[in-house]
Amino acid sequence: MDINAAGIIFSNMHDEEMHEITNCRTMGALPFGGRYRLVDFALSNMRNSGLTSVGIVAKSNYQSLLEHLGSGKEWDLSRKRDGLFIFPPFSRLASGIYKNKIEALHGILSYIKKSKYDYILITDCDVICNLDWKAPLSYHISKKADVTVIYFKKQPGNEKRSETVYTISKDGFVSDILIKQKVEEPCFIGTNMWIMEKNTLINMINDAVAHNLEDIERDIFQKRLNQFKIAAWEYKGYINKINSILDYYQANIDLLSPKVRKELFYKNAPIYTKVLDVVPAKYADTATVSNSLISDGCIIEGQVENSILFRGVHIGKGSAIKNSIIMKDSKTGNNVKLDYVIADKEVIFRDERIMVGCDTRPIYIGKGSTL
Amino acid sequence: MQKECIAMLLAGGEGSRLGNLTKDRAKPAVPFGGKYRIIDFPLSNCVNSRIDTVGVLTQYQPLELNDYIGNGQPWDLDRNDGGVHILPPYQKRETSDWYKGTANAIKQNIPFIRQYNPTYLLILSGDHIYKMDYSKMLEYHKKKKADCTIAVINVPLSEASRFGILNTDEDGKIYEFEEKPQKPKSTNASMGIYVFTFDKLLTYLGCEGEDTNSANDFGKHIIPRMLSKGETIYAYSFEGYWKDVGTIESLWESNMDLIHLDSNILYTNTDWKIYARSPILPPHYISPTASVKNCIVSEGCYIEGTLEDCVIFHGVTVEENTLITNSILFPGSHIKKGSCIHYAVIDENTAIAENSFIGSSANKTVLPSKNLVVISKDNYMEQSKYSMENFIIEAAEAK
Repeated sequence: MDINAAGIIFSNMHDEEMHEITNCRTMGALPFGGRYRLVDFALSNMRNSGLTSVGIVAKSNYQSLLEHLGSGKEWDLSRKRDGLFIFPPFSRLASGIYKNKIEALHGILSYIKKSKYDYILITDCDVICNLDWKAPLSYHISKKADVTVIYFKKQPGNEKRSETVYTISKDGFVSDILIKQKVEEPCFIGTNMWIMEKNTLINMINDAVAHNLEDIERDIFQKRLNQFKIAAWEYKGYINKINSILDYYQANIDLLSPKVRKELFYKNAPIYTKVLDVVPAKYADTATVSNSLISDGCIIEGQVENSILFRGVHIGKGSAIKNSIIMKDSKTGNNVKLDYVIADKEVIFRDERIMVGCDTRPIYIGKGSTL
Repeated sequence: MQKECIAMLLAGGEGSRLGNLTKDRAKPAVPFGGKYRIIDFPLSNCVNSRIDTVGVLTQYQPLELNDYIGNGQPWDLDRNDGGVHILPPYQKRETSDWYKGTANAIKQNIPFIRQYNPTYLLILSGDHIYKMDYSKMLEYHKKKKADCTIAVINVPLSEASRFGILNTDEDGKIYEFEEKPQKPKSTNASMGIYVFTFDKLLTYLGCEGEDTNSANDFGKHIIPRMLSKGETIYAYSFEGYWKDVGTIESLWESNMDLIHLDSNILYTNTDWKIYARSPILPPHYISPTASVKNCIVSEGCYIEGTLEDCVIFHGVTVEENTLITNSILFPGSHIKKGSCIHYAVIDENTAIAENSFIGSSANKTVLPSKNLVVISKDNYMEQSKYSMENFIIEAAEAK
């Protein structure tokens, strides 16, 4: 069933914090989980929630994103009515690329105005979850809020930096916002997923541009908490926000847990991605694989443990890959040893190479390197 | 718009030699090679050979096949001009005609073919596993100014009597065609792939007032009649992997060929991609208790047991303490704890109860393929009425 909302996805957040890995691509095109790109999660969630109109805002290095999305067919968003809209960067205010979300939204104001839906759903693409937007949308309507923000409860344990932390009143509204916090104790963390009525959003953008405001969270939500009714809706399933290479590594390794995979891939609806038509994975009689996710097109002759192999990876004889993430079409020769390594696409490890990182600092190897 | 060549894919075979596997599906829709269906091979060959118009002739149990082909998008055959068309037999004003044979099926679809007014017609069958560039065969046909060209493959002399055998002169011109001869004169077996000059074919299909009942089959009627009238028929020899997967044994053998890298057509010549309608599933997971050797495994599987020499399709679950060897697990099958499976084909979405024993690993003196056990959905239904436990099926004695 279609729902009364259009979606906007920002494909470019947190590029600075993980520049090595996003040098050649925008955050949305970051490979994840063996066969996906980060944008697949935001896009599939919207499509599975019944949205038929989704705009993706691109900023820089978006060629791989365009290549990945194509016409939007894989997400069933190649439509005569509505469908997938990709907005390459342009700014009507200043010269050059837009600087922040307000400018970006101002740039696509005509898309928002033309939308025939009453509500707009906004998200970044660095949040990995399987969310049905119908629930927060009906919550938003029932609360008669100006904005609804989606948050999750941070459990004690792994520490995160630069998160937005909400204080939430008993009646379900946000009463305080702290930005870029290092979080340690249980708290409510914002996901950068927002729901607004179309007209509220248009007024908000126009007003923000007129007042030369720069940041939606800081200059609008935080400073105008008294004027804005910000409702908060809790997402209770598996969720992971990626702000750094270590976050990225951890989120990948999380997928080795059957519980996480169940929540992410099998619970609400499937996560769609570009189909590549590669052959099934081939295990040689010398293969030993344990606790790993293996994609189509891999050829495994060696040992793989606690790792994720993307499509078309070849592990040579006598090689041992542990705790590593090996992206598409990378190859190892014979007797290669890797431990805590993130190898980007098309990396070649020659025979006998040994690389060892550690759990708090995995080694990253750039796209197309030969070692 | 006129097309130089269009393909007609005969996908209507009953596939009775595949037993229960084709009870609810046409033979070309039988799963193959971890993520494919048999029909993916000729369809992908067409697309890779730049033939963009394919008529798929269906007849028996077409539902699963129709559903699978859909609008042809996975093969890039969702075209405005051409693309893939499903052509079932249909009721006419005076008669309703079930396809009586290969040539008869083509004859009944002449109106479809005429829409594209092709100069050449490529006839394919939907039950072979191979990678072939049809455009080269078409070039050969044009160069030889032939009326018909038949693709042939060299088979061992011992097997030649199973095939239609083409006897040619040195130039490749066919002077004799023998259907399943007792004493074959050559080892050039017909692959069931024909290129016809369309105008010529029309005269032999009996469209122009001839006796219509006798020209139903290419191998039995059309080719011999063309030869007897002195038409130019050439053999185009094909080298490479080719397998007729019309029987359970050959289907199993052809799947097993995939697990050896050197005889594996999927992993060699990877530029010639085989396309398939892909399921939406994450990569497969191999647990710490699992051991997987000499297998191919597809997406979305969850493996906790021991697998040796197997072909595992997408979405298969194999629980702990299981041993599966020399078997094919079709999509979505589920092998529960403690089961042991040897030389078996497990059909789609079939669950095997805990502690079951299937197949036979003992008798090594006969060909393993003769010991094959096929577990279809029906088997499971019957058994589950009684008990979920100890579901035991042993292979029939080798004949």
